[in-house]
Amino acid sequence: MHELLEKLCCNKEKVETIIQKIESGEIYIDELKQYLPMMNEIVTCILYEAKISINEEFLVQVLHDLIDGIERQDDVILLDTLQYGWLEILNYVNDKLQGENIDE
Amino acid sequence: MNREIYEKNMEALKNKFPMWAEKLASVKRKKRNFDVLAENSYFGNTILKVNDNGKILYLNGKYAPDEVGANWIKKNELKDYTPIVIIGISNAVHIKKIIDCAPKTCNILIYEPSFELFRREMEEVDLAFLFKKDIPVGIIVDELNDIEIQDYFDLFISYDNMVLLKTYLSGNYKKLFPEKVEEFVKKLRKHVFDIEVSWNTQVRYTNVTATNLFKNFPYLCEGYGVQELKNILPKDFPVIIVSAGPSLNKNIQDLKLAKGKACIIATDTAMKPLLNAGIIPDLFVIVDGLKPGKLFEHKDISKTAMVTMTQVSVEPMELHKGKKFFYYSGSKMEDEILYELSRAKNKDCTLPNIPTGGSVANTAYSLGINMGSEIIILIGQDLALTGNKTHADGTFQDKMEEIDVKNSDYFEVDAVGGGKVLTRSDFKLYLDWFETRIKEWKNITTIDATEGGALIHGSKVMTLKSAIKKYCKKEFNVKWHIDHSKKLFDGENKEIAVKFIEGIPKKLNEVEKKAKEGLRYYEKLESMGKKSNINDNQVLKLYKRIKKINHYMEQDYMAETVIDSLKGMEYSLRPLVYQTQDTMKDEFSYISEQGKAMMYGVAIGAGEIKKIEEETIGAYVKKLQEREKGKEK
Repeated sequence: MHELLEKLCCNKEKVETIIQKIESGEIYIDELKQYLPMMNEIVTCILYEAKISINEEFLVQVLHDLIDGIERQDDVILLDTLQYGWLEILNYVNDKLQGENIDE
Repeated sequence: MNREIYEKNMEALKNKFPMWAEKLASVKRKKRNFDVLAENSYFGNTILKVNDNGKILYLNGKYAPDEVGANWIKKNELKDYTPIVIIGISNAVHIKKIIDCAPKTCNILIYEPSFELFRREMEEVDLAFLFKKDIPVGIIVDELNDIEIQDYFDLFISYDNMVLLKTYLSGNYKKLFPEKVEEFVKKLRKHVFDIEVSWNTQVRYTNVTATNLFKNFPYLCEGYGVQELKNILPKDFPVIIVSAGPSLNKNIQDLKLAKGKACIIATDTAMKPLLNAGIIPDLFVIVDGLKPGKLFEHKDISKTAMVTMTQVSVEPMELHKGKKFFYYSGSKMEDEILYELSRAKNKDCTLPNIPTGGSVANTAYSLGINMGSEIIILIGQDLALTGNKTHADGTFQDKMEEIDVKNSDYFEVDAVGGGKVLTRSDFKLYLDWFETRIKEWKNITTIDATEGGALIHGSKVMTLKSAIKKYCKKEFNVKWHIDHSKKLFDGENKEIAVKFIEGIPKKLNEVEKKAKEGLRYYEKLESMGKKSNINDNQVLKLYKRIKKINHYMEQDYMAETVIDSLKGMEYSLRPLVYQTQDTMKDEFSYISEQGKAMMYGVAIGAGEIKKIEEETIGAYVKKLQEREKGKEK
């Protein structure tokens, strides 16, 4: 659990950094591509380790939009999806796990 | 197409911009390989995506398309009178948010760089709110009214509010329309830069403005208007503009081949080298309020007629004893005396403005065209540091020194003959002005015969000898036309000038009196603001009186003349005019301080100018009257 929370935290930090770069017009695409394996790992953890209910359709849509945005290098889609799609999921999972932690 | 939205938008558009509605309704074919598609976001908002030659880019996000605008508003403090420039209409949600959140005193300018996108936005997105009549929104759409860009800039962004300027670039617009967006941003930057340069110039000359005007006023009364030179030249008779760039050293002697076959107009700084070479130009132009007299110290200086204005430096005006042709200077006092002359003669006697980019060569170029020629040959127009020198030998020094170009003030531009040459920002400003005019004034042939320096794109580059051989073929007596020009105040009209000048001391007293009255009102306002109970009626009464005084200061020609001599103070006070204070008491105190400073400055200024008046135009009128008395005896 602790390990998962730590991974979530790292992921959030990474994503927030990339979001800041997109907002300020800096080059971010390579950093985002380098993040993908880390994202892949956390998705696996969320689905198979976290044991929380999650809207899988929404998750798949977010991942699809991210990949699509990276392929087309679409700043608008990437910013929107990272900030209001992927970060929302990470925050949701984090809150859920924190809540369970307290209950325990 | 969403028919309901389209019809609502078109109805609103017809009311505000009927010509736009007509054009939109008549467009049958859409742009090839450019599609705009409407989708729904995951939460039901309409979002747009563009397919441009197979490349798809979204204009809005799918998850929270409204948040981008909201975030921008959070990060940008929108104060009163802030001008807001938005590039990209997109799905207009951000625009609606900005209009709702911004103070009502903010002007919003929207630029849509694609007519096709605008057409599709009208079909898919509710834009009716943009076409309401009572909102402070300006819209520029490519291919509809993009020629109005500068007009909107002039209307929305001024010296007073430019420090508050905020810009918003809608998502993916830079990727989709890179050239259009870059051009628009470049024009916006230039507009702000031009405002700054204009104010800096006015402030630079502020100490000499009043002195120059009053000392030179007698020359205006004895001089000629530049309208006497309008269209005196045949279209195919060339004008050679001689500037004082370092390359003039190379080909100045070749100019002798053109004498009688071209109208030679020199810039002020080029006069000495020309006269030393034995060349007497037909005219020379001066624009600078601070030009040193030593540039004009030559026995033959008066042989060439001067094209000047009342606000140039006094020394050259005193040294030059020949004919002086005046162009518009912007002085209200000059306007007023010429309105009186116009009324007496029953025709317009006001001085024409000569378009300029800031350099005397720009002014000379415009003058040549105003004189009727459609062929302008430039020499000595380096606009760069040729041989690391700024000017030709024999101008500021007999042998000009080389400049140390290692610092960051200098940068490269295209050179005549290929390669690059170093220039600096003021030269680049003048160069850009020439290039813009060459593009706009298509009937004018501009030949750059400088034989060096920066390349003026759009000009024909050749040697001076070749230019003279090709264009200077017929003879024309320019001097005859100059010699036969009529004075502004000729014959009995001189009396108008005398009466006007005699009335000036009274006008200055009036301005001083009004300023002192204004000062008292602001002091009263200040003490009212310190009281715990503020009487609204009394405040209203006082505001009305202050408003009357301010109206006088803005409308009266002598008040404006005095205020012009205080440009440095205005430069500091004006950008503060839109700052609002937190409490009413603070507001009272702030307004009073600003008002008192201005009125005090005007009162002192009027007093100082009275002294200058006595020594200059007052003395001139006394001399005239003594001369008349002498004649009568």
